[in-house]
Amino acid sequence: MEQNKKSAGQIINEKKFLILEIIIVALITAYMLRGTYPSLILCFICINTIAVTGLDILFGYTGQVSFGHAGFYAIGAYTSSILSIKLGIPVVISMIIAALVSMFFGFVIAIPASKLVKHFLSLLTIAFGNMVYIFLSVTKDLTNGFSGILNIPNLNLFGFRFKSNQSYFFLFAAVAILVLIGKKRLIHSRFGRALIAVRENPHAAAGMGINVKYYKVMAFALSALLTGLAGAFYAHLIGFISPDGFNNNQSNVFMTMLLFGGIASSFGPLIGSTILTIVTEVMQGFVRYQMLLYAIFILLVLFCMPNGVSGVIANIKSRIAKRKGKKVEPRA
Amino acid sequence: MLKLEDVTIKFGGLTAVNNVSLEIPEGSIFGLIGPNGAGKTTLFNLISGVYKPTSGKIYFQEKEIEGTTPYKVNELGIARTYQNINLFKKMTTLENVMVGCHTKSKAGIFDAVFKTKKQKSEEKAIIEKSMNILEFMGLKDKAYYKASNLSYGEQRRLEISRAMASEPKLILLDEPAAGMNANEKLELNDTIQKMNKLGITVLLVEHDMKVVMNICDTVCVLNYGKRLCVGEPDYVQNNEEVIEAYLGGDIDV
Repeated sequence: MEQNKKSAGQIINEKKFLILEIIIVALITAYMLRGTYPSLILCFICINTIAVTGLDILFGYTGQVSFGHAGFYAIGAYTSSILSIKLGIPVVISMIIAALVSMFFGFVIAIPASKLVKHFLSLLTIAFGNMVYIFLSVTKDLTNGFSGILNIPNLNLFGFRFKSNQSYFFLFAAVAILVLIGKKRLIHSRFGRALIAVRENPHAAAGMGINVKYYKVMAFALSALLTGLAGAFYAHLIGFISPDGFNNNQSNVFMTMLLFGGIASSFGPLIGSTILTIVTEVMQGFVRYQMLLYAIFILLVLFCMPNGVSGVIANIKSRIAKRKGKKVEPRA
Repeated sequence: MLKLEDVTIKFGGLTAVNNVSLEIPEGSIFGLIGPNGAGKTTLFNLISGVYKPTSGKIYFQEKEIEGTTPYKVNELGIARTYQNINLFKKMTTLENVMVGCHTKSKAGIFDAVFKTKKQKSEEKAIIEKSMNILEFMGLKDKAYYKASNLSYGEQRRLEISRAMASEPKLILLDEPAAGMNANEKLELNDTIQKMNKLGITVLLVEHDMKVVMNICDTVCVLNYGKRLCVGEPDYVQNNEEVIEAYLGGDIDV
């Protein structure tokens, strides 16, 4: 509907911009795909984008904070691994089941969570994340405790065996793009408007006939579905999982990615996970200082760019448009 | 259309609304006035389902609605505005009204993600309807502004637009003229009367006596949660009890 307002010239200009961006990203991606390790980073970017998009639906659009998303990530990873190893279920199906199981846990958590706001909700989600972590480390029969699960089988799709990071990348990238498109469509629909209305003003939303509890629960479930799927991808890509990958830090990483990329924006999760994944990999030698680094990113967001990188980009774009004499509403 | 029977609500020791009975006929413009703290907004919250009455019954079109959750009350055909403006601030004017269309549309998650035909045509209809409402309320040229960037009077009008989008049979307006200048108030009078002619029953809380006395068919006065009197504007204006409540009683020296 916003297109109605923009002039034809503006639309063409924006399309040119987008095509240019896509070409640059494609070239860099193609270059990185030559190496195994850079391809792995690309895979991580895609996985994180999916997981952070999940968090964005919950936190960015519905205004429900979650510091326990590593819990859903873990549920996705472990469910898919255990199903494919112990029951021999084909990996594609185990991934889908894992996402659905994670979604189920999203429902379960959402029922108490939809009654809570602000710090009470934060505490509940932190507790959830920790509960999953402790469960994984204690139930040795099922999860093998801290030793973790080894030799998780590769994905096998229509006879094509995913072995290299490169092959995984194409799958993950396709899914990530579909997720981003799906999110955009969802947000610009009746459902998405209801989510935003709940975030903006739950009382008024209820007064307008929106079942606030239903939308909060659905946001949680959708969010858990995406993050769980990302977790399943992660497990089969790496082939090894242990509880250490799914502790509180991982939740904070997702939150930092989302905040730094920009909440409630089309490409925020993509930008955030790209930058932070690369920074994390580059700083691999200084793992001890990882959380310190994230703290710096969060401080940057808090003091300099409340809407993250995508907010900064939007501001620059509107400034350029203004200089050209066109009036564009800046992001609030 | 709307009937209140001995409605009482107590907050701890305070009785905010005390045994109020009212009947609002279909198609009327019903005014609700009273000094500050008389319980007018509380009564609104009771009707719209925010509070559940301690005792008493509320009927809407012969159906008991007391204690129904707010979103269901809206589905039944009662929409409201708020005294302290409650807009979706980061959404545009148009989007605010589109949210108002929620109860009258159906598309779900799958329709949205897969952009089904049904969803596309419904979305188009929603935009068209919202634009018509904005035009009706004189906000069409502000359709793409952020709600928070509108002036105070415009925000009040947007609240009414949003309420109208749910195609209500009864609309509750909580001090719609607050913060408006004289011109805007005149326009508001017009709008409310036009709305009424579309077949929407209006229940109005207002402090501005000019607005109330000019457009209301019936006026009810509340004081300390009790019904003081109900009648036509002229009758109410000359009622001694009402004058006493507003200006204070005579003092025998």
